[in-house]
Amino acid sequence: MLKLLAWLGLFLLAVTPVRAAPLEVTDLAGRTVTIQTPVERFVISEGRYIPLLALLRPDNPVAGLVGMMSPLALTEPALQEQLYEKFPQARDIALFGGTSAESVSVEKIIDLRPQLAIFGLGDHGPGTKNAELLRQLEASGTSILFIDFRMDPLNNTLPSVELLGRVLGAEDRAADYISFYRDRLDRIRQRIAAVATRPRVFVQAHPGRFPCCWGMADGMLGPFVGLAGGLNIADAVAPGPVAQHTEEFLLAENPDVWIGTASGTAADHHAGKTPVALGADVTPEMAVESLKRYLDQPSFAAMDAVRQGRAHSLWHNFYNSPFNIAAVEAFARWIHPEIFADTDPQETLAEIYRRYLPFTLRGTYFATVPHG
Amino acid sequence: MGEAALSLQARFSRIARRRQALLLVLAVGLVLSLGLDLMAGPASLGVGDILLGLFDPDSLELRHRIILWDVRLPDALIALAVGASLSLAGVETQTVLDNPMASPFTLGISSSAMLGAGVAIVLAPALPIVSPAAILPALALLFALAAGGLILLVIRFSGGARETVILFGIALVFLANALTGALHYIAEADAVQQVVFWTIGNLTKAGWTEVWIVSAVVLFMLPFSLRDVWVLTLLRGGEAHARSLGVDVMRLRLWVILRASVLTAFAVCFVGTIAFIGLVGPHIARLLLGEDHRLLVPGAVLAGALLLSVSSILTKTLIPGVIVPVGIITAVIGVPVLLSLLFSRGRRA
Repeated sequence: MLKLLAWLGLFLLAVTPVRAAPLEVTDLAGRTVTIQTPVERFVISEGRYIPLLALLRPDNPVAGLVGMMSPLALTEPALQEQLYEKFPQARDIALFGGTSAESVSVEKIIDLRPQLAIFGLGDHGPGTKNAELLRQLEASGTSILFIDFRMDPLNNTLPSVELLGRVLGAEDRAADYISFYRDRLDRIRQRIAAVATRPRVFVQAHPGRFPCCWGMADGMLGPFVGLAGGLNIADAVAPGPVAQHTEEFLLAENPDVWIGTASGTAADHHAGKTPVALGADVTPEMAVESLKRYLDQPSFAAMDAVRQGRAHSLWHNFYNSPFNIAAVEAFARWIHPEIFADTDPQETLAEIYRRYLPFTLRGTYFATVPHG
Repeated sequence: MGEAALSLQARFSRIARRRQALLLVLAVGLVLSLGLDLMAGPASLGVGDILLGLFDPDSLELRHRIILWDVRLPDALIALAVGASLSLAGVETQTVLDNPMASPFTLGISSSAMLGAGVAIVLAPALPIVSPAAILPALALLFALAAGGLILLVIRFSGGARETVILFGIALVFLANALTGALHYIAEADAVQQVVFWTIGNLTKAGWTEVWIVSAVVLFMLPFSLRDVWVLTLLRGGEAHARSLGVDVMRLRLWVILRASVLTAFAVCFVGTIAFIGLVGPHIARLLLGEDHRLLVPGAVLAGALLLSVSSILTKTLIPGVIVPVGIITAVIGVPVLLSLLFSRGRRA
């Protein structure tokens, strides 16, 4: 009887229409936002957040997504193909801009009637400084949430995942991924706490695409160095988050480890273009070949990191990605190979895809220059 | 021959001697600046190491050899070549257009180079026979030369009036800037950043190939400029006056703009549009050496090279280990130098 009553109760709950309930949250800009849930219509700034939506809602990543500034193809064209194949309705998502906040048509967003707009603190879309745009959207009845994987990835990644989980009614999926992420991060922190040496590291943005040598100091992937038990040599000299250094600086400092963020694609590599390539459709051999091609310049070839096989590349877009735990692992493995022999960042990324995403990982996201 | 005439002659020759001495000072300054530029940098290389390394590269350990021969030398030498090119183009342009504000940049040549660089960075086209790494300088060069060609056509078919040339150049600047803006609009943020930095200029991109090319261009053009020093000096006395003495002003304009276009195109295509040198180099030379182009042309070459060489030292030393974009520095040191010369001349007059 009791069982029957319980079932009846459950049944009643299930058929009761879900009533909109206001949910009050604090976003990553520290703003207190009230959102009517469930969120049935929302927009995002960049298509690069679609994999995160897929992590939270693998059955239909783009459910309720009525618009975005730029498509997923800008950062991951191959993944967009998978998305279109499995979820054809993704083709119909309206675009309301080009590649920058300046290109955003507020009118278009308002016309899409979203309850919620999800923007990034430091992405290419509208930011907290676009006061007029935010005011207009709020006046039209759209709540605005800021998330962040770029300005402070080490502190903001998990809160951003949790926030979107709450707002989109996917708390369990968010909690599951957060614990997966946290376990791995804790393991790195514990092991690093015990290391005595801090190898000296240089992180170079866009090798082969930008002129030499844009370093990341306390911006983007720069702080990953300290977390992974290294000393970022750009920190001492760079006046801002990123700065340009000479090849001489690298040769004079002679860091123990060199890490480049590869923004070249498989197509670039085949066309013989210079940017170091990683990502979709790049085989491990191509990845190594492309890194080697770049590091063959005399000024790099003379660096100890290159000669001792401690020069590496990782996919540039980890600098703004909820899957940046794989990048943290890569840094740890490269900076302290003696205690992270069991860590495989490519495998971690593959596991994220297997466990959380309705897509298949195709490609190489990390590479190391061959030794000797 | 009266007393006054003698003293006038004496005064004239004193001024001439002083100007020749100033030219020598510029030349000596250039050598010193080049030496300092070779010594500036985060690596600890002493004067002895550098002198030894220049004459016997193998005496240095591998990293120091690379620093001297692959990093410092090409950067220091391209600074001289680019500074000389821009300043030479500037001094001749100012004279034939009789406009103190004219420079290779007001003709729209550098803005067009910027547009070419933007096309290379944002649209990333593949070009036949050009290797992917060379596409950016190739397109910058191509666009710059095309702009120069357009201006030559305008001179040819409009009779070469000064105002027409200047206005057309400025119109080109605005058009190239607008089209570059359109490229920014469709580009990813990284690409936009790349274009922006290209427009500020960067000497560290240069290797030996670039040094040889830019040096060859400036050395090829200089004799032609020196051949024209007499007519250019005549032209400073006014266009009508020069015409009455049989100078074919339009033809001179055509040749000078052709030279300036080629010089500017090659100077900016590798290192980006380093502003201000082409305007200020010539003015520093004018204020020091006067209007006699026999001294002014070589003086402008030296002043431009010196200005960019000193800027090159500062890019590396202001924040050790970090590069401060050279285009920022050329303006920051160029303006005070120009102003101090202007005011000291004002007091003398």
